Amino acid sequence: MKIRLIDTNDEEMQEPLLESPSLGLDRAEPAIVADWATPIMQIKTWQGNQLELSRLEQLAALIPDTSEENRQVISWSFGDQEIEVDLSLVLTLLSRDMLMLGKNKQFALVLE
Amino acid sequence: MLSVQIKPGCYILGSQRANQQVNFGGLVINPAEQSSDKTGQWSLKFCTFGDADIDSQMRQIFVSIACRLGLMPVHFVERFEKALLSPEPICLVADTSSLFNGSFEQAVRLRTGKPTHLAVPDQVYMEIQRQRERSGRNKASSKPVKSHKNEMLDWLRERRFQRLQVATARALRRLKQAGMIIYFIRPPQPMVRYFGSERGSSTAEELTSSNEDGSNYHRDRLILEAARNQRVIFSHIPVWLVTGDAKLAIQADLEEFQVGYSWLPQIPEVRVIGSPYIEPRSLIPYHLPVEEFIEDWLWNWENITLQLSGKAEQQIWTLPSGERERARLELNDLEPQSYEKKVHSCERCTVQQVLNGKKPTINLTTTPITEASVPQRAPPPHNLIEGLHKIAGATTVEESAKITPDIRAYLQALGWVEKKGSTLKMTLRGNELMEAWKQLKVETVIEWYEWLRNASQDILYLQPQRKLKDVLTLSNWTVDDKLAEQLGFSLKMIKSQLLLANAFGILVRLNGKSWKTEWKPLPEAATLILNTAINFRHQANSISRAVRVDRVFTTLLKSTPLSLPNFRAGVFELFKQGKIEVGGTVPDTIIRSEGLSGVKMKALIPGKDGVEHPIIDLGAGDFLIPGKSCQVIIPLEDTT
Repeated sequence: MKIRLIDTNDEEMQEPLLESPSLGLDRAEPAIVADWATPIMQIKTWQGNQLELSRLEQLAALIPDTSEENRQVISWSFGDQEIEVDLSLVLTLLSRDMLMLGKNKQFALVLE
Repeated sequence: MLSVQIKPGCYILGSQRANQQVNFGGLVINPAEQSSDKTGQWSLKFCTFGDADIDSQMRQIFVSIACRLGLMPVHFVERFEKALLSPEPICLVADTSSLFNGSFEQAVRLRTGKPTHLAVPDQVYMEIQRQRERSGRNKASSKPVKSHKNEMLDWLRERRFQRLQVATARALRRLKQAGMIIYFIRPPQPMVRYFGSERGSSTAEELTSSNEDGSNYHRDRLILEAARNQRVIFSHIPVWLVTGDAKLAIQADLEEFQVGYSWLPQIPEVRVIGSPYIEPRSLIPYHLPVEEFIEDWLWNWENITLQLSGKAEQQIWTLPSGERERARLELNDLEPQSYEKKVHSCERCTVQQVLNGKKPTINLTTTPITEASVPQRAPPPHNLIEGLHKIAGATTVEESAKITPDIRAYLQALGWVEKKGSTLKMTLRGNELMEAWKQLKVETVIEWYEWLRNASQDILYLQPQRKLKDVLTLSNWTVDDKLAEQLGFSLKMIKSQLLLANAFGILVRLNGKSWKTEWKPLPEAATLILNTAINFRHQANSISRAVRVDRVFTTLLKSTPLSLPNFRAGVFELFKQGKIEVGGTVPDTIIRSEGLSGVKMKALIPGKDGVEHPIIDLGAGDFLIPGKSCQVIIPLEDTT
């Protein structure tokens, strides 16, 4: 699975702004589309359910009490340590960092 | 191996200053995998303090720690960011500010897998040294920069100043531990003479004139000249000067250096840091184990508190107070458990209360953390462990009521049990100790030593024990009468306290005399014992290589008294490492003929019914090493 950062102003979305190396996920892969330009964040779980979450700024409210049904827990390896990771927290931190760095605010993160 | 060990859970993270508990926020530590005891993903949400100035100071500290550890990205000028992401080889030259604000480490991380030469000018090392010396000088005067606001701001500023000296050095250590080779660079000799001679390129004079206009001139100039020299050597690759100092950045740009200028971000609305995280420029995931985060946090605040949400119990982790111990810790010369951990009772509090701003600070005047009042007469030590056993197994009010009032008072003061309604319940700490004690057997010598060492921290929390420890000195033994007089205790009471302290390895009580001890890490205790045995044999001018073990014990009392558990673990360690042989070659007649009374002490050991408290005769040789006679030890390394 990779994370791609896409400029949502680019209607054709031909080239991602950034594309991560493979994240090495070893579980059923969830697809998460986070469109920072819109107030609604859509998360598609690996069961195919669509979840509409609150505004990005309010996403932090999910932490630390992320409800079970919204959790996107996957296994992630760091060296010899394998840990279960809730992607919504990781993506919240990433989105915060992106906004802090003043990256293109019209972007979407796509995990697929 | 990580020094701070913690279990998954929802904690309130804080620190203690003077008479106040300061809570920073809620730390959620998830298990690495479901139903695992190992720590995995974690997040820390900061609270607010309801005061703009304090909040601002706190934010600055949080952001700088987070950036230094890579948990929040620093800003880089755009062309530097492009260079970092490019696959072309580059050279990065650090300045002190870039090490302190984390930008150098973040730049290096973006270069993972790409050819990169790392260089640190000598001026940076000199500044680290200067900060350390200045810190010592300030400590002596004990007068930090005085604040006009309030004590809290004073404390934060003091912490910020203290952090400078360790943060930069720790940044360099982290880079080296990550396998980076850091080159030491300096300006060419003529440049040092030219620019540095006025002030000798050392910083001694700068110390006294740090407030003068342009006091950074020499420092910046020497860094620029070191970078210039590097550019001459590496003419084929771009040399970037990484700095968070705006004035230096402008000057470097003027002199046509490639400047990797960086600055810290503003604290965002989402006041959360955590790990794993994705580096926003490379989109590569990283993970900082929570233990490493806590350790860095500890070095910043000198003590940190972790309280499980909703519980009235708190762990306090503290840096060693002595300068020598800290230096050894930094030099990796001390065992990992050198960070002191205490567990004690505190006001019940939840993470939500802290995050809602209800409990950012709590006055500790009503709940002192330094000592707990208990009856002056201590119960026999084994009764404490038996009492703990009984409470752990008690299912009815009647069963827990069987514990006598003095034992109950001591167990509560130790934080091992707590009163819930009319019954006594085990606390987390009590459970932890009880479970560990149950695992002990006659042959688990090291675990037994570790258990007593751990539990003795709580014993020292008792008021009479603390007074006792303050009165005793390391260099001399003291008799009971004198101690009783000094502390205003009756003889019976002082004896009960001495027996308690002796059982938990806080002192050695032998033939009516008491010696104060200090817990020594195993390698140190083993070395002390071995050297004492060798010296003793030389002094005795003995042909036999065997040295009586009780003689070694009593000889150590004169220089570095070791408690019985510490001594036993040290001998066991030496035996395990093959540095000594043990034997039982001293007939009782010889002992009697020498007119010795032997070394007989009470000990607290695991037994069939939970706990036993026999009188140990070291000379009998049947206690130190399970299954081996150990009347004498024979040092094997000494072949002379």
